[in-house]
Parts: sequence; C-alpha cells; structure tokens
Amino acid sequence: MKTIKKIFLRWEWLLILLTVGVFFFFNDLNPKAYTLPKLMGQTRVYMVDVGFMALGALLILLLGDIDISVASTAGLAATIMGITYRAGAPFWLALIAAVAVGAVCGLINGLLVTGFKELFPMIITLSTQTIYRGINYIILKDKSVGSFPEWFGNLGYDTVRDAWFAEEMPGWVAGSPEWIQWIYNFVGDFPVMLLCLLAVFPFFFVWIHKTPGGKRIFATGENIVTARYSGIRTDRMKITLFTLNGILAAVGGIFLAARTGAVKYTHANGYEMQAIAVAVLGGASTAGGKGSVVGILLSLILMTCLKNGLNIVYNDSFIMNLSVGALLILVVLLPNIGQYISDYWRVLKRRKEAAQKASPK
Amino acid sequence: MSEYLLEMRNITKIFPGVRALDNVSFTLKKGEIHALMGENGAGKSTFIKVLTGVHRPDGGEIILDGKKIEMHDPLVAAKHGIAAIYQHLALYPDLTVAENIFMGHEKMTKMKSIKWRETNNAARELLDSLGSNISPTDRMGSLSVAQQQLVEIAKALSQNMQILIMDEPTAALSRRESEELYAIASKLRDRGISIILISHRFEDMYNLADRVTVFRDAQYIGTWDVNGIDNATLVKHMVGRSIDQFFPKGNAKIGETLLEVKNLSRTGYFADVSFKLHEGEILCLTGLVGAGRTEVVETISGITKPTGGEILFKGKPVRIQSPNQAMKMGIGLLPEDRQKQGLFLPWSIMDNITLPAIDRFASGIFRSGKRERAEGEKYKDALRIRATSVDDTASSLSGGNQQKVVVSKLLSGSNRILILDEPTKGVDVGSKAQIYEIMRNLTEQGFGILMISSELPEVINMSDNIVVMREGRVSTIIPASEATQESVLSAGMPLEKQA
Amino acid sequence: MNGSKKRKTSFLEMFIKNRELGLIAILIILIGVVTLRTPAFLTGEKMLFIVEDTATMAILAFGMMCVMLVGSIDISISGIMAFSAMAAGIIMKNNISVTEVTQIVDGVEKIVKVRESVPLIYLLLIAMAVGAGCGLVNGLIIAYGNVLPIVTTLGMQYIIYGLAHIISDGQAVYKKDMSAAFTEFTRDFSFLGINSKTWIMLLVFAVMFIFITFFRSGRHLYAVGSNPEAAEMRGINVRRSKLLAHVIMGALAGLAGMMFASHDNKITQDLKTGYEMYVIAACVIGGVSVTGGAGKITGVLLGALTIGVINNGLPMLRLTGNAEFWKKLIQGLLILAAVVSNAAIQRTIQKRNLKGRNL
Repeated sequence: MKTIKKIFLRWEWLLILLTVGVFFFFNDLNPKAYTLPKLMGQTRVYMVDVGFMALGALLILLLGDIDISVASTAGLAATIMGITYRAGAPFWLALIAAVAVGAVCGLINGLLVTGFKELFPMIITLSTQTIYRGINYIILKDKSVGSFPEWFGNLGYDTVRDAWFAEEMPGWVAGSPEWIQWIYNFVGDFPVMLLCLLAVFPFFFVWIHKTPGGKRIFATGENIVTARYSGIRTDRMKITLFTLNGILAAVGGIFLAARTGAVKYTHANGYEMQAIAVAVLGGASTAGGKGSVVGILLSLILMTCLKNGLNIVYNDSFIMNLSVGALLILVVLLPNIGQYISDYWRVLKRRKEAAQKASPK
Repeated sequence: MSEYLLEMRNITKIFPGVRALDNVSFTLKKGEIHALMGENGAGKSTFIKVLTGVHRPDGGEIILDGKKIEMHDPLVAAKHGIAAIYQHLALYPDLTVAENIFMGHEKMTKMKSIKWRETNNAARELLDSLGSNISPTDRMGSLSVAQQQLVEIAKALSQNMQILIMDEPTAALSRRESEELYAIASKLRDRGISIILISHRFEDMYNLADRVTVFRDAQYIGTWDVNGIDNATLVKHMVGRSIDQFFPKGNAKIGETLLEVKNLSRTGYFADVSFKLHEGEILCLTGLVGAGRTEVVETISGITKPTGGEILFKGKPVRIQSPNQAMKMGIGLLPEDRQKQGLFLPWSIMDNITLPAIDRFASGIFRSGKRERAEGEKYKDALRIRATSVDDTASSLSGGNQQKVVVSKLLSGSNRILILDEPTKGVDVGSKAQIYEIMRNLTEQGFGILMISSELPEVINMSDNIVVMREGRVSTIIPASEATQESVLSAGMPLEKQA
Repeated sequence: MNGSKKRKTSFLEMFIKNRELGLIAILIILIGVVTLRTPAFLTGEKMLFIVEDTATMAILAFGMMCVMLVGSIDISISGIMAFSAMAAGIIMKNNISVTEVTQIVDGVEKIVKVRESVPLIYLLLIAMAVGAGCGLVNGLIIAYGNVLPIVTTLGMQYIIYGLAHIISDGQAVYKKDMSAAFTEFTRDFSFLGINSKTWIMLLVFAVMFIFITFFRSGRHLYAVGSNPEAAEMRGINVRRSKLLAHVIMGALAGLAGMMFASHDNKITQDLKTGYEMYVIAACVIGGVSVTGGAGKITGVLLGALTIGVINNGLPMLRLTGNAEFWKKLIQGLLILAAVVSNAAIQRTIQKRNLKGRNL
C-alpha cells in the first residue's frame, strides 16, 4: 500500500500530467502548426544542447553544488573546436580538443570547489564563468568562426529520414498496416541530434539510479559529512563529477555549434540558467541529494512542448521565458505548501488524540 | 498567593512522530535553585523550550505568580522575566558582546534608533556587576566558552528576569570556571532570582541546588529536597533501575594489540597521545568536553590528519589519510553527532545501513535491492531496531533506534575496531542497555572498542581501561577496576594556570 | 572568567579584522599600477568619474548585501531593473508633452523643444515601488514558501523580464519619449561639481548605513543570518526580516534601473542582463559572507569601487591592441584572486592561532 502510494506520488507523474495537458492545450489551439512531427523537429532547438548541459547540472545539483560556468565552458569548447579546425587540423581532432577543453574547465572548477570548501561553488563558478568567457573573447574577439564540414552542419538539421531512409517509403512498409507506417514516419521524423541525446540517457539512468556509484552520489549530496564518515571519497567524487559536467557542457556547445553553424564569443550565453531550470523542474533540488534522470528527460519534453506552443501562439521568447519561470516556481512551491498543510493536519490530529487521552482522567 | 513562583501542570508536547513531554509537572519557589535532572532524551530540553515559549505546549497549564499565562512566543516569556542559557549557546558570533546582550531590546532613542553608546555602557555595567572585564565591543566569536556564557547571563539579566534557566552550564568549563559560575549563580539567587539548573554533574547539583526534579522518558518522576535524597536513589530514578542491573558484565578475553597510537599530535587540538587497544577490550576515552577526545578519534579514523606521532595497526605503522582508508583497514567510527555525521535522515533504514559497504551487495555493476534489503533486515532483527519496516526513514526513529542504525552501518562493513563517540548520548534507557549488550557481544567476538564517554557510570562500568584526557593531553590511564567517579573526574579537571 | 588575554595583533590579523583596510590597500595598489603605466589616470577628475561610473553598481550592492546578510541571494535584479524602469518609462511616455519654446542661445534666437512629463521624483518613486513589489514577491516565496532563494529568483528573473516585455509590448522607450528632467538627472554636476549619480549613491549609502547600524530591523538582518535559530528564540521574526531584505533589494534595483535608463537614454526590456553577477562579486569582494550574518556596508562600497577601478583602469593599462577583449578575463581572475586570497589568509591565521594554543 505504502509503496503504491509512493510510486504515484512521484514527481515524474506531475511532469507527465503537465506535458500531456500542455500538448493537448496547444494542439487544440493550433491543430495545424502544433503536431507531434513538428514538435519533434523543434526538439533540435529546445532540447538537445540544453539537454546535455541539464544532465551535467543534474550531477552538480545532486552534489548540492551549483555551476554557473557551464555556458562559458560550452562556448569556449566550441570556439576551440572552431579554431583548431580552421588551423588545419582534422575535424575529429578538433572535436577531441573541444571535449578536452570542457574537461579541463570542469576539472579546474572541481579542484577549486574541493580545495576551498569555505568558498561557495556559486562564487567560484561565477568567477570561472567570467574567466572562461574572457578567454573565449580574447581568442575570437568580435569575430566568429565557422565553415565546419558539411556533415557537421547536417547534424544540426537532419532527421533520421534525411540521414538514413530511402527517398520513397519502402514497399514492405507501404504494404503494411497503418500503424507500422505511422511508426515508420515517427522514427523518420526524429532529428539525428535528438537521437544522440537520447543515446546517453540510458547510460546515465543506469549509472545514477542502479549502481553503487550512483547511490554514493546521492549520499554525498544528501549529507557530505555523513558520506565522508561512511567511507565515500567525497573530494574525488566532486572533482570527477565537475569534470564530467565540463565534458557534457562541451558536448552541448558542440551540438549548438552544429545548429548555429558558427561560433561567436557569446556562444551559449544564458544556457547555464536554462540548464539549471530544466534540472530543477525535473525534480533536482539545489540543496542536493534529490533528482532523477527520468525527471530531466520529462522536464526537457515538457519544456519543448511548452516553449514550442508558446512560440507558435505568441512568437515571442520573453513570453516563453515568463511561462517557464512561472512553471518553475509553481512546481517547486506547490509541494512545499502541500507539505505544510499535511504537517499541520498531522499535528492537529495528534493534539486531538492527546486531548482525548487527557480528558477521561 | 501560593508558595510557588512558577507552577507547570500536566504539560504535554507532541512533535510529528514523537511525544516529547507526557503530562509533566514542575514547581519553582522564589529565590531557589532547582535542579532538573534526567538522562539525555528525557525531555528536559523540550520542557525548557515550552517554558521559554519556543514550543507551544499541546496540553497543560503554566501558572506564574498565581496567574495562568499563555506562553506562545519567546517574547512573552521574556516579558514575564523568564530567560534561558542554552546548552548550545544561542549567540551571534559575528556581532559584538553588547549587541548579543541587547539584541531585541536595544536602548532606543525616541526616533526608534539604537543608542550605541548607552547600549555599550549598559552592557559594561551588567558585565561589571558579574565581576567580568569583557569589553562590550569585542566580537562574540573571539571569546572563550566561559566568557560567552557570562555574556549570556548578562543578556538574561538585562531583561529584568525573575527566572533563569541554565542548560548544562558547566559542561565545557574547567573546575575554577565552574566555581566562578557557582558563585555567580548564588549571587543571583540572593538577589531573589529563581534558577532552574539542568546538569549531568551531580557535583553541580549538590553544590547549588535546593531541590531536584527528575524526568525520565518524557515523564515526570518526582521532586525531592537535595539534602533528603542520596546519590544511588537519584540515579535509580533517572535510569529506571539500579546501576548494577544496568550494565551487563563482560567476560571477553583480552587478546593481541589491535591498534596503538604513539605520541599522536595535532597542532592546536591534542599532543603526545599514546594508548593501546586490544582485541576484546573496551577502552574508554574520557575527560571534559573540549579536552580533545573527539579530535583524537577523528584523526585515527582518517577524518583529519595528525601533525605528529604514529598509528600502529596490528604492530605495523600506518598512515590513514581518509575514512575510506580507515574502513578498508577495519576501523569504523560512530560519530558524535549521529544526525549530522552518522545518518542520512531522509533515507530509509536499509539505505543507511548498506551504504558503507554498498559494493558488496551489487551483482555485476547493478545494485541488488534484494540483497540490500536482506542486509537491512538482518540488522533490524539482530539489533532489535524498532520500526515497522526497513523502509522507514531514519528521521522517523527515536534517538536510540537511530543510534542502532549507525551501529549497524559499522557492523555491515568488515570492521574489527569500532570507535564509538558518545554512543549513548540522547538515547533512551531501553536502547542504552541494548547498546551496552551489543558492545559486550562484540568484544566477545574479538572486536576492539574505543569508546568516548562523558557519563561516568558508563565509563567505569563498561570499560576495561580508562584514558583520561585533560586539555589535549593524556592525563592518566587507569584500569576500570581501580577507578572511581571522583578519581576520573579530578584527573580530567584542568590544572589552573597562573592568571 | 576574567582571563581576557590581550594578544598582540599582527599585521595580518589587522587586515582581517578590518577588511576595509585590506580593500583600501588593494585599491591603492590597483590605482598605483595603472598610474605607473598611464600617469594621466591619477587625476581627481578620473577618480571622480570612476566613482560616478560605479555609483549604480554600488547602490545595487547595498541591496544585495541586505539579501546576503539574511543568507539569501537575488539573481533577478537585472529583471527588476528592466521591469521597474520600463513601468516608469511607459508612464513617462504616455504623459509626454513637447512644447517648442523660443530661447536665446548665444545671442541668437532658437526654437528649442522642451519635453515634459510626470515629475521626475514621481517616476523614481514609481520605479522603486514596482521594484519593491518584485522584491516582495521574491521574499514571500522564499520566506513563506520555503523555496530556495536561487531557484526562486532564477524563476522570477524569467517572469519579470516577461512582464517587462508585456507592458512595453516589445517596444523600447527612446529619448524622444523621455522628459528632459529624466534624461538629465544623471548628468547633473551642479552641486560641488560632483555628478548627481555619486550624490544619489552617497545618499543611499548614508541611509543604508544608518538603517543597518542604528535600527533594530537593520541589526536583525545580521542576527537572522548569523544564527536563525537563536534569532527565532529571541523573538525576532526571521521570515519578516528576510522579506524586508528582499523588498529593500527590489526598491534599490528600481532606483538603479532608472539611473541606467537615464544614463543610456533608452529603456529596453533586456536592460543590463547578467549584471547581478557583478553585484554579487562586489559584495563578496567587500567581505559579505554568502552564508549570511557578516558584512559591512563600507566594505561593500569598497568592493564595488574595486570593480570600478578594474573596469576603468584596464583600458589604461594598454596591455594589447584592444584592452576591451582582455577586460572580462582579468575581471574574472581578479574576482577569483580576491576570494581565494581571502580564504588563504583566514587559513593562515587559523593555523597560527592553533599553534598558539598551549596544550
């Protein structure tokens, strides 16, 4: 009984419910422009690059820390990719360089955060944010770097159909029942980028939720002192996760570059807050020890549905952000209010019991 | 007008999950010092918080000066002249002494702005009247514990109090500081102020109090004149049974040396600490709070690094850099503050128990819920942890059961040396006896136990040998069979430096 | 109990105890370095300009200090600035009247357009009220809804920018819609030849200084951040203190927004995005603790000035062809150096104190 209640009280249901609600609301409002295939195309814009960073943000929030420098890291990594390629290096090398830069940026954050525990990760990453962006600015000045290989540009736009399917629907599909055709089309509409993002989710899910290592991350975020006293090497864990966060930021920056086609020094500006917002909406707490990979995925889907819908109706990024902000606060506030009310009732009930116990005497 | 200044009748306080006070009563005469005694977790602290308006009682009445009062707010308590000095001093380390004294009722001008000069002068006068020369403009954080306590008393005096509550005032004081505190307390009593004194030290009670009230397990046990009750009876009332029934006798064989520390030092905390721990032995580390006991065991278990000396594990010198490493060697620590250092409060019992050795329960790379559950169940049964299931959260358990979960954590690993820092602090009487039993069982299996404790009966009756620490150094090591409460206490009292 | 030993305070400790001294030293060194490179830097005029240029940041930092004192933080201030300036700007725009007046300029008759609107003081009050309203919402959610400050203000940032957009319908307010009084109020040098922004900043400084030193609710901000439980026990309303801090922050952000708007002659809906980070940095350099309870307003002022000197001094260093590109990096490095060195000094002192304890 208790476990069933627990399963249904999970955060993820709220996100699914909201997503379904949002989808049907906008679908009803705008049946032509707001359809599943079109939404799928929009995931390139609203889901992929921020998705990688949100996974990184999840790791850091699980630890109870925060990283403001991810967007700068993403920008710097993309810039390094651009200039390495422009300098004549093969593109694979440029990609490796970008990821390596991301790792180094993350490592620096990790070392600073664990080396100066009396300082706050927010303050540290605030300054590294400025530093990374500053290096980027020095490298690129006010120019941009672009003209990547063609396949890389295609990565930003292609769907599975463009990339791998034949022009015409194969005969065996055309001859099959309608639902198989529907699946064929559905898969065909998947942007390649989205597939890349979705491919990492199972890995993260297993790691965070199903392995001992994942449990140790939760432990560290829940109570770092107890975690250390329980034999967890908390410093090493933090440094590792910050480094991984840097790598994820770099990957996000690379995908963003694939979509935009060129990198300026302002590349990925503001993504740090978006990533944190996605993670918090997905159930992560800035106090640490809470969050789920599924939550991140659902929160990304919800964001995509909402943002795309708003974009169609209002065509306005400010309104879009307003709704995201309101959603964020409401979703975090409501459980608190619920908790408050339930606590109040519990105490009230016990008081009544106490009064009854006292009165016969 | 009754003979009592304060009467509290049938006070009940309920928290979500626990009944912290159950129909307790208390009376206080004008100008008396009344000791309130009881084990940790008996409800003393909650009682004080009810009296000072921090917690609102769920039942019962408070009668002050013959009038029933509603105590729903700390300000109301202050208005009625009730002030408290808490165990964990409630101070603002970044603010000045004067501000700490007058926070909330500063000297104000007509414009409702603070008159700093007058505030500082008033603070000066109050401190003078207590015979202290602390400067009102010093930062609170820069004072010693005794000085901070004095500031707290000054703070209480500044509010024209008639009732002063002192919660464990001497726990961290040297003998001379304690005596100075006794003098101040007597002086206040002579001014007509009533004092409620909470203390573990019988010495404090006999020195100061006129009457004593005992609480046990959130219930009122009785009130006696201090002169009319002997020590043994009082202890019996406090723990619920007589002492010799309470501590199980051990018959473990003392074996080889497991752990030896030689001249272990850490700058500023302790120096030249040496002792040996054997298989099957319970070695007790005692002394005043702040004598460096906790710091020593933290160093042994790898939480902090020593600055000198060496640790020998089974005869071989080792360098322990982290708790992780210590646990790999089989040294497990039960930390002093189980809620902040020992448990993940929102986690289930099972998750708490399995975490330190979680890799052991994995099949392949995946965690196995089934095996983790089995491990949790094993310890829930073995240690008789009282909960409906291993899925209950640690925060929902009572202090004693929480402590058993932390002990399970230690046992679930492959530890041979257990370091227990105040294992029975804040634990109810029943669980306390169980924890003692567990300790005895473990020593019979060849475990070596290093226990830190401040409760002298526990120190003397549970351990084989006693290491007494004083101001960061080992004062003496005595076999428990030769120790008395007085000898242990005096060995731990700081030698007064020439002032 | 009366053994208050007077230890000799070392040079190092003096700097820690009086963080302001250390900051002044840093400021002097910074100014000195720039002056060595460009002697023209060290002129009264330039120094006054730096103060003028930093005034708005300092005002924001005073508010941020209040918020940080109670252990909270506000990253929505750039949104609040935009929204409150926009609200006041729209009222100004809707009441604008342009009259053509013949004036004699340099002995020649000229037709001059005079733009008039709602009196400036009303506009400022409106902006501050709108800002205070935003701060109130922040404070309510944080103090009474128990939502973490960083999440709350992150969400509010998005919401407030959105509101600024809605009320402006996406249109910026330009100079043609501004009253002369508004466009000129930050350019006024009439009193002692010192810019009005500096005067406003000094006024806010004085008010905040008095509030935080002499008024109970001001002192309570420290108490709440220093030890919330103790504060609660002494009957201080912790939630109300937090609320108050956020309201003050909001009101000051409203004022700062108007100053930026007047300075830029333009009110856009994305006014000063990302500015909150500089303000937080100014506070941290100035010695405000992120956990709350500690920090002095003089330190915050010096912290803001340090950033101001860095911003203005860097181009003067002529490090490379275009210092503009280096500015960000050096800013970041200096902020990091400031916080890290502070931590390092604290550690050395702690170590020395430990050594001093005789066992």
